[in-house]
Amino acid sequence: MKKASNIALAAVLMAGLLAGCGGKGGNEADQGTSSTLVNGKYDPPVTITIGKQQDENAGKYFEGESLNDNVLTRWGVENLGIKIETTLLGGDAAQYNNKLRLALTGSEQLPNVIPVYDTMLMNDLIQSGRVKEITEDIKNYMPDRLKEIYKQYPSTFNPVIHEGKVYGMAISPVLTEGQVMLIRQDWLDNLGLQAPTTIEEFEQVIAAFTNDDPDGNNKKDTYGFTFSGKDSYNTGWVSDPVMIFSAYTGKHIPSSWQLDEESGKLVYGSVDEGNKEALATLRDWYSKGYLNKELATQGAWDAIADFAEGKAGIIVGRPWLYDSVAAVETNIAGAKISAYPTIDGVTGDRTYQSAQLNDGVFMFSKDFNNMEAFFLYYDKLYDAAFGTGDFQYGYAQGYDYDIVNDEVVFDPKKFNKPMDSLQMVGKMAFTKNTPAIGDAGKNFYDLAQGVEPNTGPLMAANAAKETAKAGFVISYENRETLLPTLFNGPPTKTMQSNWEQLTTMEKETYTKIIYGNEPLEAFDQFVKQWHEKGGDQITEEVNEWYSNASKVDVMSSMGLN
Amino acid sequence: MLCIPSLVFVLIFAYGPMVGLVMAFQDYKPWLGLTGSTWIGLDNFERIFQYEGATQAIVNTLIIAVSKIVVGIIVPIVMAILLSEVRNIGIKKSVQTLVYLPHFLSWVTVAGMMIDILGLDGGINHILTSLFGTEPIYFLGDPSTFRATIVISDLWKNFGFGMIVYLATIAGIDPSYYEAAEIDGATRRQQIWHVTLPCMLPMIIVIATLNLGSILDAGFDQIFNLYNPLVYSTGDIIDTYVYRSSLLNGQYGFGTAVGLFKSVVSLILIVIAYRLAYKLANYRIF
Repeated sequence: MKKASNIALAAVLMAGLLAGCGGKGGNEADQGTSSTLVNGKYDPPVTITIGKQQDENAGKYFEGESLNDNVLTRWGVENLGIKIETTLLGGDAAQYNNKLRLALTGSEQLPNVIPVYDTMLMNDLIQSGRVKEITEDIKNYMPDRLKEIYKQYPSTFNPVIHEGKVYGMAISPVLTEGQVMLIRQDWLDNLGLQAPTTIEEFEQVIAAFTNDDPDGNNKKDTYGFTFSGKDSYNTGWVSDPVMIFSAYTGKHIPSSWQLDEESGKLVYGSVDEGNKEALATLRDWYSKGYLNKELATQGAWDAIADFAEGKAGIIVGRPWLYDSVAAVETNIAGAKISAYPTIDGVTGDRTYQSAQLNDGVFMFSKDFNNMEAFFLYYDKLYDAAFGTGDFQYGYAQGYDYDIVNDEVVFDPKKFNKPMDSLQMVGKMAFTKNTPAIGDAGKNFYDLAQGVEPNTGPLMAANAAKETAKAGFVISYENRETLLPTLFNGPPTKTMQSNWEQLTTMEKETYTKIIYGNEPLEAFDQFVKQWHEKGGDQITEEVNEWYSNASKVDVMSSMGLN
Repeated sequence: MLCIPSLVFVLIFAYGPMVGLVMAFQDYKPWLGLTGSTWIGLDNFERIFQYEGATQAIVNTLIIAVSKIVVGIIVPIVMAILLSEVRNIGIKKSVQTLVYLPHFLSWVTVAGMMIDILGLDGGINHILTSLFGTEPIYFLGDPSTFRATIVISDLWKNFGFGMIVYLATIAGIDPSYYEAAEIDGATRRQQIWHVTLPCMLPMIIVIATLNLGSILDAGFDQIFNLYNPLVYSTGDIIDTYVYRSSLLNGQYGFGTAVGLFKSVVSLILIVIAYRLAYKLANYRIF
C-alpha cells in the first residue's frame, strides 16, 4: 500500500516536472507583431504578461472574478484589444522578490512587464542583461500627459540608470501625502489645552494626558503619545516618532540620506548629533510614562491600537489613519479626533519627514516589443486620476463607485448593492497602487479652497470623512516638509556586507537608550563605532554614487525636459 | 523493482539540489549560473565569524536550541507517563487532544496572541501583579527573560506532538512485563521506573539523536515574529541574522555557506550521538 502510494506520488511529481519544463515555449505566440492598432484598439488582441505582488487590498474579487478575469481585464480586451495576464505572482514582498530572483536563474520566463520593489533586484536585473533599455521607448511612446508627470520626479529614475541608459520607470510617481498629528480633541478640551506646536508644548500636553485624567474616569489609565520603535524610528506611514527626532536634527532625520550644507556631501541621518538630545527627551518621557510602554515590541500597525482603544492621546500618521482609528469616536461617548500639523523644531524650523515618490519601478523583459501597447494601457489607467474618458468617476460602476438616483456615490454602504468596502479595481490587474496625480492631497486642498467637486477625483475626495479631509489639507499645506532620501540607488559594496550590522546596532542603541537600559552616552559610542565599522566607507560610496547620478543627464534623452 | 520510484525521488529531490552547495564557495549571480560565477574560496565562511553580532547569534542559537531539545524531551516523556496512568478514557483523550492542538497553529498567529498576552498590560502580568503584587515583567522586551519565554512557549506549542509518540510506545509495551512486575510485588512507581522507562529507552534515544540534528535550529518562525531590538543580545539567532544580512539583499553565496555550515555541524553531532547510543546503550538506530 505504501509503495503504491509512493509510485503514485512519484508519478505526479514527475508529471509536474515535465510540465514545468514544457512551460517555457508557452508565451511566444503572444508576441506576434502582426497585430495592428485600429481606432485605439488592437486587432487581433495582444497579450501583455505581468508580474504582480498581490497586496492585501488587491486579493479580493467578486464571486466569479479572479486575478486574470475581472472587470478590468475584460475592459482591456473589449476596449483596447489588450489582454493583461499575470504570469508571475507573489504574496508578500519577500516572496515576490524571491520569485523574481528565481526567474533570473532562467528557470522561469520573465513576464513582459516586471514591477520591481527592491533596488538590489533592479540592479541584478540590469546586470543580468535580461531587461530592456527603454530610453527611446519613453521618448517615442510615452503620452504627453504622462511625460508631464515623470518630468517632475527625475530622481525616481536613479535606481534604473546604468551607464547613461534607462532600464525602467517609476510606478505612478507622485508625492504621497505626508503625516499629520491626530489628537483626542475632547481630551484637549477637557483639560483646557491647545494643540501643541513646539516640543515644550508637546511635552506639556502629553504630561497632562498622562497625569491629569483627560477622560475624567478618575483612573490613571491614559498616556500621551503612541509610536512604534520596533522596525525603525522613521516608519514613514503610521505610528511615526520621526517628528521628535527632526525637532532636534532638522532635515537629518533617522534612516535617511540628506545633503550636509557645509560639506555638500550626503550624510546619514541616524548618526546626526541632534539625535542624542532627541533620545534624551524620549528617554525622559518614557520614564515618566508619557509614551507607549511597549513601543519596542509593537510594529507600526500594532502601535495604533492604544489610540484606537482610547488609551493614548496623540498619534502621528498619514491622514487616512483617521479611518483606522475612528472606532474610538463610536466606542467612547464624547470622543473626538482632530488633525493638526506636526510640531516645529527647537530652532523654529518645521520638522521634516520622509517623502515617498513611488512604490517600485516598471522594468520590461528584453523580448517585449510592444511598448506602445503598454503605454496605451497605462495611460488609460490614469483616466481615473485625471477624471477623463471611461474612468471619469472610478474604474467600474458597482465596484469603486456607483450611481444611485442619478448621483455618484463613493460610500460602498450606499451602493445599489451595498458592500462593506470598495473593490479597488485600480489595483486589480496592473499596478499595486492606483495611479494618482497632484501632490500630497491637492484635491482636498482645492476642495477646501471652495472648488466645486465637479470631476470624479474631486467627488471621491469630497466623500471622505471631515477629519480625514482636514488631515489631507494640512498635509498638502506642509508638503515642503517631505524629504525623499537622496540615496535611492542599489546597496553599495560595503552596504551589502556591513549595512545590516550597522542598522542592528542603531536600532539596539536607540531602543535601549529610550528604555533606560543603557546610558545616554551609548549614543556617542554608537556614532564612533558606526563610522569605524564601515559607515565611513559606505558614506564615501554613497557620495560617489550620488555625484555620478547627478552628473548623468538622462532626462533629455528621454524627451522629459 | 518497487524501490525504483523512491530511489528516483530521492535522487531528484535530495541529491540533485546538493549541486547548489557550490554556491557557498562562489560570489553567485543568478544570471551567470553555477558555472559562470566567480569562485571566492572560503570568503563566505569567514564572513560568518567576522562580526561580533554573528558570534553572539551562534551562542544564542546554541543556548536556545539546547534548552528546547532538553525540555522538549523530558516534558513529553513525563506527560506521556502521567497520561498513560490516567484510567478515565474521556479525560485521557481530551487532555491528549488539547495539548496537541497548538501544534497546528502557525507561529505568526501564536506570536500575535503572545504579544498581547505577555504585554505589560497583558493577561499574564495582570495575574502576576494581582497574586504577588510584583512589578509587571516585560517578557518580550527584557533580554534576561526572552530566552525563557521562547523556550517555554515553544514547549507549550509542541510538546503534545512529541507526547503522542511516547504514548504509542507505552501502549506497545508487552502487558506481561507489568504482570510479572506485579507478581513480584512492584508498586506502580516501581513499575514505571523498572518497566515503562527501560522499554521507552530505544525510542527516547532515537528521538534525542534526531533532535541533535537540529541543534543549530532555534526556530526561525518563532523568533522572527517575537524579537525586537531590545533583545537582540540574547534573542538573535543564526537564522534571523542570516535573514537580515543576506536574504534581504539577495546574497545567495553567504546564505548557502551558512546553511552548509549548519548541516555539517548537525551531521557531526548525529554521527557522535549514533556512536554513543551504540556504545553506551548498545542500541543501533539504523
